[in-house]
Amino acid sequence: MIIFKLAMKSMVSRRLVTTLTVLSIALSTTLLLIVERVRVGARASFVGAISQTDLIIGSRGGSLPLLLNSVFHIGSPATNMKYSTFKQIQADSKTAWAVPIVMGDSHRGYRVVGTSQDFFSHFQARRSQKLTFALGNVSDQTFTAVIGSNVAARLKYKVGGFLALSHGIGEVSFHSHEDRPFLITGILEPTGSPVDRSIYIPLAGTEAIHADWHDGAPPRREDAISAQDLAGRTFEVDEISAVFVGVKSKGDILNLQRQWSSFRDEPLTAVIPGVALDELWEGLGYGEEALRLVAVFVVLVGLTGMLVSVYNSLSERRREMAILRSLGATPSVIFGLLLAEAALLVGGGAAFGLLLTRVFLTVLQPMIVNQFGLYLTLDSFTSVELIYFSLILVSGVLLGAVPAWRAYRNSLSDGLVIRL
Amino acid sequence: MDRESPAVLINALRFSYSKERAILDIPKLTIERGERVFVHGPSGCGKTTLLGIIAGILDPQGSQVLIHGSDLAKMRPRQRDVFRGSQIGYIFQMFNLIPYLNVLDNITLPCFVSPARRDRLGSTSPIKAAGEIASKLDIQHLLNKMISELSVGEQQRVAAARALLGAPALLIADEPTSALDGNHRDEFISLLNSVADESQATVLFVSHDLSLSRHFGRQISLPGLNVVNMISAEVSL
Ligand SMILES: Nc1ncnc2c1ncn2[C@@H]1O[C@H](COP(=O)(O)OP(=O)(O)OP(=O)(O)O)[C@@H](O)[C@H]1O
Ligand SMILES: [Mg+2]
Repeated sequence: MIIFKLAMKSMVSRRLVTTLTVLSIALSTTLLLIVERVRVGARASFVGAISQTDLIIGSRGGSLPLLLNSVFHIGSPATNMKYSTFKQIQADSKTAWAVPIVMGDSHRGYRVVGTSQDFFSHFQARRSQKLTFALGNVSDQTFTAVIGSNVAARLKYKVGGFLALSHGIGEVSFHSHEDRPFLITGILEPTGSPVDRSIYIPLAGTEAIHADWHDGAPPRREDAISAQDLAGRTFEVDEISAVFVGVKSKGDILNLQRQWSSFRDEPLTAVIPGVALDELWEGLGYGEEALRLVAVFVVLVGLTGMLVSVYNSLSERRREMAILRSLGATPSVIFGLLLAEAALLVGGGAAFGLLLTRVFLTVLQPMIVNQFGLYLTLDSFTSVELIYFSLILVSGVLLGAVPAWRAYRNSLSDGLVIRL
Repeated sequence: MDRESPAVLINALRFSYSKERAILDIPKLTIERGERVFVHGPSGCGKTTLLGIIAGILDPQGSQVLIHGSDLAKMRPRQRDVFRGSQIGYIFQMFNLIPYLNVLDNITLPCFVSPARRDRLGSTSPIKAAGEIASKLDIQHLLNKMISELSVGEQQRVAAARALLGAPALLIADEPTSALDGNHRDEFISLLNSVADESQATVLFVSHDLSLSRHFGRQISLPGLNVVNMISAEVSL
């Protein structure tokens, strides 16, 4: 213990260098840990963009476009599938629930998704986290909309407000359905998924705005049907973009996928989102690795800083080592002293880094959720963090052995001849 | 520890840093317990080297060097470190106090480095023992000060207190008075000797200032460089 006491006092006497060294290790540790949290958070946001949905079924095409389009709303929807097929899927004995979605409209850059009310009871963005309403609720009326948290925040929309849809999915649309505004009846809680950036309207709504359209073209003014007229009507849906399916028993997922992929009435593609997302993420994973590699290098730089500062102190402390030896300290005590110093610097730095990480996360988390839709978990200390902490500590002590060995050699060769 | 054997007994010591020349060649040197020995000689003649060998810091290179009856040549380096911690108090030329420790921590340091030294204090705590020695050396009021706040003379007494704590049987001082003026040198040496008397320690004091020799019972001179030193021939009793 005298070793730690001496190391402590010696470090305190060089407090400026000590502080800077501890700080640099703390900051590099913080970076590593935050990169790790972001990595885990990004993966969770990506893979968790959809959960508890066992199958996504759409018209025959690539499984990737189907996934990207239905879950992330990336790219334009491929060809549609028949609504009657959805009915068959829903009626299948292995199906627990099925939710149709229709895409193709947007509102000021946010995708509009036509769906059934079942969507809100079955769709889960994160494991065991159902969609919940921050305000209002979903309505069964045709011209109503539920909006994601981001949409509400960015566009400053409130329950009771109206929004007009535009045809197409660009920010600026060539045709808007301004004559048929939708009443906002609900705002969803943030989920950290594409849901936050979406607007949900009833299936009938998507039909209604196009009711008087023919072959994808808007009606001539005299043929246009007024919104009041439309509100009273019921609409038959013929086509939808995709179906989200939940199965009764997980063992049926593969069977169902095979069954619907080879459906006779219509060519379909069925993907298992969990598996597909995992694969996709693995494919994109090199970015993640690069990020981690950079963070590891930053930590190495921090540790090297420690090495340099301890090493630099050696020459001015040779006399100190000689004094200790004259008092009966063995060279291994000298070695231990410098090792203790490295351990204290690195341990202190890494512990401070853990703390800084917590502070950063707590302070920045709301902003990160809002800005990037990224949920960074706030759990106290993850096991990965403790592993990193131990790794940093161990490598710090190992690096510390370099100056310690040098001091050991010095103390053997210097004897007691070091004088002022 | 063998009570009968002399403090230092050197037989046929030849010591060299390199193969070409021997720095020291001492056929025989005996220093009895409780002796006050003054070692002098010109710069570079090997005084510090001799102290290094006696203190077990330098390897005796096979020659017989018995301190209180224990042969340093037969010890491993770390055993010699432990031995030194327990048996020898060393005062440096420039006191070599540790600047980041206060006076009290400096004085008690040997007790923490060497368990044997701590044990010799018995039931007295190192802090209490340090206080007692400090009052003998008249530095008891400085215990909580940092080294940099002390005058040179005060630092010297702290260095002496550190070497004396835990009553090492052999006290080695390598030119500890070189930074002091004449009066203070004499004063310091008398003080050192009187404290050493109480613990009946042997004192080995190195200086090239011959005028200090009158404080000592015996004088050993190491003549010039490059010459084989016949210490025993120079002994004046
Ligand atoms: N580590 C070493 N390696 C090689 N030669 C050394 C070493 N230490 C001392 N010497 C040489 O040994 C000789 C004696 O050195 P030592 O330090 O014992 O002299 P000294 O009598 O204490 O001198 P001074 O009065 O100046 O302190 C010198 O010539 C010195 O150059
Ligand atoms: Mg010398």
